[in-house]
Amino acid sequence: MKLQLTKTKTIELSFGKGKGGGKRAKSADIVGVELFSGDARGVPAVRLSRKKSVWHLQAADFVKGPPGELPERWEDVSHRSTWELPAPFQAPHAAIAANSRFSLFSQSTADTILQDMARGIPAGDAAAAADAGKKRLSLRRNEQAPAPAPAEGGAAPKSLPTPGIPTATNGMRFTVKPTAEEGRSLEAALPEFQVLWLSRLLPEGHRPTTSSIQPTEAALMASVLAQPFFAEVGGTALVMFMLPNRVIFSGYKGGLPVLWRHCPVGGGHVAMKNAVKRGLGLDDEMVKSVLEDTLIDPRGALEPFLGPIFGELELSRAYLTGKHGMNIDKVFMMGLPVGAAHVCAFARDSFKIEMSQPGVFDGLQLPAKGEVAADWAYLPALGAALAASGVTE
Amino acid sequence: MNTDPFHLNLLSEAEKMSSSPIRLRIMMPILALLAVAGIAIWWGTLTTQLLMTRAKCSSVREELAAKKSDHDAIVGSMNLANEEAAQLQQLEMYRAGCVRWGETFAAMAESLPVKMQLVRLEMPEPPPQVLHDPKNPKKPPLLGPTNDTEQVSLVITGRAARDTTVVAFMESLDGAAFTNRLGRAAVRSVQQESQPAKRGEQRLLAFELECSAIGRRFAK
Repeated sequence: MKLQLTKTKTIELSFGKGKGGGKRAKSADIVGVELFSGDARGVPAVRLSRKKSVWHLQAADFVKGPPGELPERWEDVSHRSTWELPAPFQAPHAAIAANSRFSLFSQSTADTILQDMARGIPAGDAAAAADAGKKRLSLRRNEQAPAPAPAEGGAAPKSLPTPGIPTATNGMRFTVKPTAEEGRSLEAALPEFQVLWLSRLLPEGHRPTTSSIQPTEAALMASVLAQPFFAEVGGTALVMFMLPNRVIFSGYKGGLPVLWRHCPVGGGHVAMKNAVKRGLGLDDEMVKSVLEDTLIDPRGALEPFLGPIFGELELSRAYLTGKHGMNIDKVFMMGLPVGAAHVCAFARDSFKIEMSQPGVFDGLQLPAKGEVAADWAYLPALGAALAASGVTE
Repeated sequence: MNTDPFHLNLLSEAEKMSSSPIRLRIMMPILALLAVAGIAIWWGTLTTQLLMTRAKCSSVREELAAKKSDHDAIVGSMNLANEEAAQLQQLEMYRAGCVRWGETFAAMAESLPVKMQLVRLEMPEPPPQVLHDPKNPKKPPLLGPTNDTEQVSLVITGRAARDTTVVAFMESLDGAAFTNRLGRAAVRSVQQESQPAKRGEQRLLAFELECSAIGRRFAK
């Protein structure tokens, strides 16, 4: 705490000194959830606790989601809806990874970020009638949500927001973090009313309360932090996220983010299954067994689908090697539920790329009692919890 | 593992809420109100106790004022009783200091020579005792003697035919009959009378003897 005695004299008071040199102790018990993922099983939720620098997976399950849907207009903001997590997930803190069609997560230059901030949320989507929504959220006077941007664009901000400090601009809430590449930052944004709605979802005085709200992609990027391979390569790696409907390449240099790139071609693993289905003329169940079993080689059906993706992967690897001098010998894949062995073999044989896919809960101490199904659907929730583990209590 | 570069948190610090069921923003006013109420109750208790103490004090004062005349009367009576007792004690001292001369004078009559006549027996007045306190003259004088003993002497005035008679009388006063009664006698004056009482009679010697007597003891 800084106290200004006179115009020139300021003293700084520090209460308690932990490992963070005056910062408060980091939370050691946090639950991560991915909201509105569209998973029919429910909301993926994981609870992590840290004991002696080791992350323990306390629980992982699909839980019943919050009442209602994520509002997409101020007018849709419901009365203060509350959500209570089951007992195994009642940690002190919760990190929410939210899927929203308005969400924004990219690696951009300052100009692009300023352009995004100036654009804000489209007025048609946000609706001008914010007052009713604000009333429903019981916003206090000092918590006035900014009005949505007009159709022709909002006021242009002149400078980037302070890294790590959320800033509301033109109906959107932005936050930025610098990457390992100079001049580029990670930007994340959600509509202001969605952040406000999400922040009030878990009620005060009940475990857990919200400590972090991130777009799902930001949580995904952090999901590698507990992986043993990430520590083995010194935080310098190229990871390919094979998601249901998209593929993302994520680069890390010395433990810092350096690349976040959507694969412009192909789709996610749903599209991959469809390609195998079409190529081999199989039904859904057969496709799954073919991809899980190595007796039948689906390479002929996979090649047209994976070829362009691995071409883009090569581009990303070349960028990291050329721009940052990173020597990428091995690429890690995350998120593919079935067929990882075939994909890795294809990468090795066709592109001379060493590739492997670790387990979703690798690096975590699993609970002694009861089995936890390792499902890649937990990945964003896990990443959200890991990213927010530094949240001060 | 530094997770901070990966944490793009859209939740501001002001929006974070505590999961603790004890909410400071609610508990603080309640605690403040409870503290104020506690202080008020404490203050009220103190005020009540003060008022009760004052009432009790005034009632005790009234009671004391009512009893003061009786108390003064009792104290006066006690003082008077003490004074009377002291006077009685002094009188007892004087009684103890009384010297009985009967036996001494009877023995003296027995041992008196034939040709001697005692004209006067006198015990000189002792020096007056200082009964007033010199430091506090206004203080009432003491009732009794200030010394435990008082020296007493006996002056014997008489006439004798010859001086040997006087000497014989003085020797008889040293006898056993006067032990612990009279001390050694001393001659104060001896002189011839100017003329006889009758013609043809012998001229007599007028003598005056002084002897110490046993002192007065004022002890109880």
